[in-house]
Amino acid sequence: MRHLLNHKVAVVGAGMTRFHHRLHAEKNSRELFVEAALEAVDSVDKGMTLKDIESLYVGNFSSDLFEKQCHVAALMADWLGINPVPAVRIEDACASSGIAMQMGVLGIASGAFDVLMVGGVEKMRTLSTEAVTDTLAMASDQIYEASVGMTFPGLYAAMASAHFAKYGSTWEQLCAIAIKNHHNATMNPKAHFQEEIMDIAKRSGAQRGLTFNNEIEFLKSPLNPPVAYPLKLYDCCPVSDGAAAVILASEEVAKRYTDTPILVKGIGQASDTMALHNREDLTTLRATVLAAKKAYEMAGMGPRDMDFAEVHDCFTIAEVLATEDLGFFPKGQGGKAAEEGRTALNAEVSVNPGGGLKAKGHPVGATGAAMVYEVFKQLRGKAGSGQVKDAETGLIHNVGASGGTVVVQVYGR
Amino acid sequence: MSESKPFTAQSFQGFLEEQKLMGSRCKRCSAQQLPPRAACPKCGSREVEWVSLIPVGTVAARTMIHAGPVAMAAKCPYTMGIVKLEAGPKITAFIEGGPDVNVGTKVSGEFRKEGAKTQLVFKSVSATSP
Repeated sequence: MRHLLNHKVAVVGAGMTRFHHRLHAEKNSRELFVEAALEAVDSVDKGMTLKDIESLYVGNFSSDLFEKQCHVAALMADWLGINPVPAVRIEDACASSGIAMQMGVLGIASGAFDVLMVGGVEKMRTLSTEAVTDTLAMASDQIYEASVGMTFPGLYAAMASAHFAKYGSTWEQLCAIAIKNHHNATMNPKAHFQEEIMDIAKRSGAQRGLTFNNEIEFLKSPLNPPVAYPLKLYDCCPVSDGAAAVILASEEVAKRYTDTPILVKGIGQASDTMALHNREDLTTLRATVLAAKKAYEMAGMGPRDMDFAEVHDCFTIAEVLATEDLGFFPKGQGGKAAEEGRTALNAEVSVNPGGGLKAKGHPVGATGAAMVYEVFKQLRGKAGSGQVKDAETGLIHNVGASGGTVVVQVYGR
Repeated sequence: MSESKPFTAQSFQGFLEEQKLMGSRCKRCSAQQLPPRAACPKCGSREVEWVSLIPVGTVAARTMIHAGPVAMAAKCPYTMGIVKLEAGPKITAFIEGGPDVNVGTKVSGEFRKEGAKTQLVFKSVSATSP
């Protein structure tokens, strides 16, 4: 198997809408996508026009059910005014636009295209929370998991129970992740929630005549109801609307657009059994381990070289699994490491400096591209108060459902 | 004849209706699969046969679902888990017993009619035979 790309690939522009549950009520997915795409074009240092784009890859999970709209890649190309470029929709659950990135990188690396756009979009708040739960469960095994009564939060809760039992990790460690990611999101103007959990505790407590002395008191209170034991509301990412887009170019052509391109150093992708119960070990995402191995090998780097990581924390336990499976901490130590502050902004490795799915939000199909947006910002030193100091290398880790699809990509300056 | 049934979800459910938990077994490497598959994912052999599995095992993972699917709203909260059968394969199923059922708890399954379909429901072995 080859571990190198024929042509080096650069990210030369990135844009995203704010992720939010209310803000985009009057916009549909094509309008959100265009907003992100235009911001990406406008972000190119030496200027670019939409006419430079030779191909489009769109990650989208289920506009089919959310908006009764299929065939969205041609639709996005149409509304961007870039017909007749080839346009491809990619659906791999929550990893849709992470995989779109993988396909886009291969598109440039193969020499087929010099400049192309990769993006993702999801307009989810068209449905009730219950209907969204049902739609997301479609990303698990419909016959042997979902229709039996298992939910998507339930699968991660099951993994948490196995991790707690095997390694002695605790729910309080998960709380540390939620608190950290909310904190990081206060410094991200594109984030869904831009509020510390302690501030939410004070605000929502005051409305009910309750006082909380610390976050854990609030998180143990009825204001944090159970979703799928042991996971509660604040262990879960929100349901958000949003879009993100990035522009890729070959390293040679990138010089036309910027003097400070961000380089794709390594890419890796793996799949695993659809149903969680068919996996040997319920406390690890094997596809993460394998995708990371490929990405690290191609980059000629390892976990210790990463200054930061945008990891897939759809649930707090998922960040524990990610930081272990990506090799930042030994297996079983991810929760403890978070509790000790080793994953905080500018600590040992800054995990989810943008706030993660937990607080930045998770419009399913847009998440992978939004991770690359964050990487672009961080590696160019444009992340404001949320900046990882002297960030030179970072990775993204985007997971489809319970780990049936995983993509890991290493980026550097 | 069970041996002649195709290795499909429909056959699997048909066996559940007959109160049987049936998986597939590879004739070459003996790997057992639940649900059944027409080809062995371990060695690639197409030589597979039906195998009857006893629904007894231990809880490998569990959760209590408070926010359930629309179709299950009236049942919430309910406990679901992944049971590792003594024979090896694992299955996602209902588990009765709420918070008393933990990872490592020994459970045995019974076949129960839920609406039009028969489902496997596990409960703690100590709860069924104290």
